Amino acid sequence: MQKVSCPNCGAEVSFRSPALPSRVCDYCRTILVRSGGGIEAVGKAAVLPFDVSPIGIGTRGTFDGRGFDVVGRVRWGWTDGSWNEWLLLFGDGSDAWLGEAMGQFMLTEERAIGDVQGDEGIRRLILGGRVMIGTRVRIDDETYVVSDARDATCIAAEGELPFSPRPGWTIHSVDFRSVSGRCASLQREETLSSFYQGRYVTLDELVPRNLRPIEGWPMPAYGG
Amino acid sequence: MDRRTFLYGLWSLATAGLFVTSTIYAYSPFADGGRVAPRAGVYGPTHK
Amino acid sequence: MTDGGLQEMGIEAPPPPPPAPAIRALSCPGCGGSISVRAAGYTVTVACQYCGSILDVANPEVRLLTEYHLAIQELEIPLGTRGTLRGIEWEVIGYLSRSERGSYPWEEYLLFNPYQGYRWLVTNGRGWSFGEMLTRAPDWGHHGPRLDGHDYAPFFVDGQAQVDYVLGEFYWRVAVGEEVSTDDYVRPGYMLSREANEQEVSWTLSTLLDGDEIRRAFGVRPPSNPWPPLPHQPSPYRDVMRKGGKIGLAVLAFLLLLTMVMGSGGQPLLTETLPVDLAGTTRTATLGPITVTRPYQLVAIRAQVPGLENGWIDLDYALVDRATQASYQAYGAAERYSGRDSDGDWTEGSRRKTVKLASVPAGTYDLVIDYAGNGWRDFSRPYANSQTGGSVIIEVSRAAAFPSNLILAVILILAPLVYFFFRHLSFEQARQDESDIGRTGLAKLFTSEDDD
Repeated sequence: MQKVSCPNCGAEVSFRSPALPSRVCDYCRTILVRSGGGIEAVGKAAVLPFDVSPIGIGTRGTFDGRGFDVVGRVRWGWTDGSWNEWLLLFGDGSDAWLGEAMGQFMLTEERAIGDVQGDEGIRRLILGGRVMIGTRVRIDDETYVVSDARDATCIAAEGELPFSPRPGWTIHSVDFRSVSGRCASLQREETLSSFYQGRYVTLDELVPRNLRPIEGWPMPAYGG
Repeated sequence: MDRRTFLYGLWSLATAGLFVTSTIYAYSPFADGGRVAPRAGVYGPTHK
Repeated sequence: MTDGGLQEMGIEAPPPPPPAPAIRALSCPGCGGSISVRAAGYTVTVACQYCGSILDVANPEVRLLTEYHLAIQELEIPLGTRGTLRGIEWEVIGYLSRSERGSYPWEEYLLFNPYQGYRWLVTNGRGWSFGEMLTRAPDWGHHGPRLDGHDYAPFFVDGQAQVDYVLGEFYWRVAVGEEVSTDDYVRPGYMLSREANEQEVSWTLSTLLDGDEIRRAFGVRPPSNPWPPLPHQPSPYRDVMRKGGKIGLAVLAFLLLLTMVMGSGGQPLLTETLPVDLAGTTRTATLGPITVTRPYQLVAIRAQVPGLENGWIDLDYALVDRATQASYQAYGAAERYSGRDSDGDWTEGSRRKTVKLASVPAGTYDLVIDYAGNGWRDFSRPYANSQTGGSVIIEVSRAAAFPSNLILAVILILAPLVYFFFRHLSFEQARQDESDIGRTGLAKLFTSEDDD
């Protein structure tokens, strides 16, 4: 754990993962980036709009036997709504995203885009093309259906992140799902694409603790 | 097990019970004959 | 648990996130009414509970999409109602009234719990189902979709469902008139529904709630025996057909075993030949002693008249206990007729007659027989001469069991099952008659041609 003072407000901020370069100051929302030995302020994140997500920075859980901590979040918006992407930090230093939309959770880990055995549709996407919702694509040896394709804009962010969440930053995001409950997501910024793959999970199966208390709602037995 | 099944189970047991009982007593509602109650009154010849 | 891994990296347990309020309050730009958004962060559209106006709440600033000044429909379960279903508390946050292009209306209530996500309560007025949207698609089985090892049968196919009325909040841009194509598949107690538009396909699995469950959770009382049955309503005779069938078979097997264990009757206890003629005069014979040893037994008395032709022998038996004078009585007749008519030779009756005496206790008995032979005296028909052959053979034996008792028991045990089977059949026929597919399986097999 690295602790530094925010160059903007002086509050103490901690970097819990040595691998994640960005951090939003909890007090003044300044976006901080580690470069060399120093800390640099690169902008300001917007205030997160109110939501009733059961997850928060500090929620812990287990995925496939590996413990994780929630260390960051980006809230993305599009024309018809918005959703959360929570950054999970595992004990081995790796990370994953827990996407939260429509009350359902998608847990995905990044894969090097060069390793992905995609068909023509995927290749077109990577090269900057668009796909229709409902299109069938092959990823490795499984058939996926495009469940969503939209331009998403970063609304707000908090905590530690692998990138700097500049407000107004817009990417093209495409979600895929297979009949077996596996899912994937391709996010493209101009010509740079990243690929995430995983599956739908339920909150119970992550056995989360430190869930966010929500007034008037009983916490699930495991969540306290 | 629902109520209907329970009642049917009772019915089957009762039927089996009746069958076993009738077997033990060698009884049947279809027998051609059986015990005749002795007539009350005077026994023996009644002619004068 | 590998919290250890996190600790090795020098990451101590973080403080829990601060508590959040449950409600985002806003005022309707249409009517000024104050609205509580209960699924803040997820909710995209709100239909104002006071005026029905459709609001876009996806962003911090609320936009009025369509202004209405509607008379607000009173809901069976008001928005904001909380109820506990299967151990989890839910709040009603949205309401949709939908129909199959104007007919067959049904209602859907959107339920929310921040820790559990969304569920649906669906009713067509005859019953309630609890639905959850699936994150995976079913496989395809022989005749329909297959999910978690269960096959579902098609029930409604190629439907077009439209939204007729909305109230409350939703996680998508809901609009009155919005159409999706639908297919519904069922198995007893469950319905698997597919909804599709150009953009997406979604599958929802609904569980039929029993009347008590929905009443306890949300205070609504569905009719107890909806008729015709709901598409996914299990036949009330299913359990008794399965378990009752097993019970019945087990009991029947036991009875058969018992009958076999009881064995057949033993050697004749007594055989005598008595003289007989057709003069009609009653003779009396006393045979004995006959000794029986079981606590109770069935005594069979067989009379055989080998030479009997066109006549009958009346036999009155009395089995009298030598010790107590208790009397067991029965009547039998051996009769035999034959002749010739336009169809040729015919015979009727039997030269042999067995009677059975029930519940004869152990003891020593005499058999008293009053018997008389009679010839056929109808002179209008050219019968052959009546004759007896002169003798009647009486054989007394201990019989094993009454076959009639077993037959009666079998009938008593099977009759309710047959009744349940036909009730089950008419239930299934009424249920399947609501389907777009019509009757299948047994319900079809047992459909008579003029029955529709």
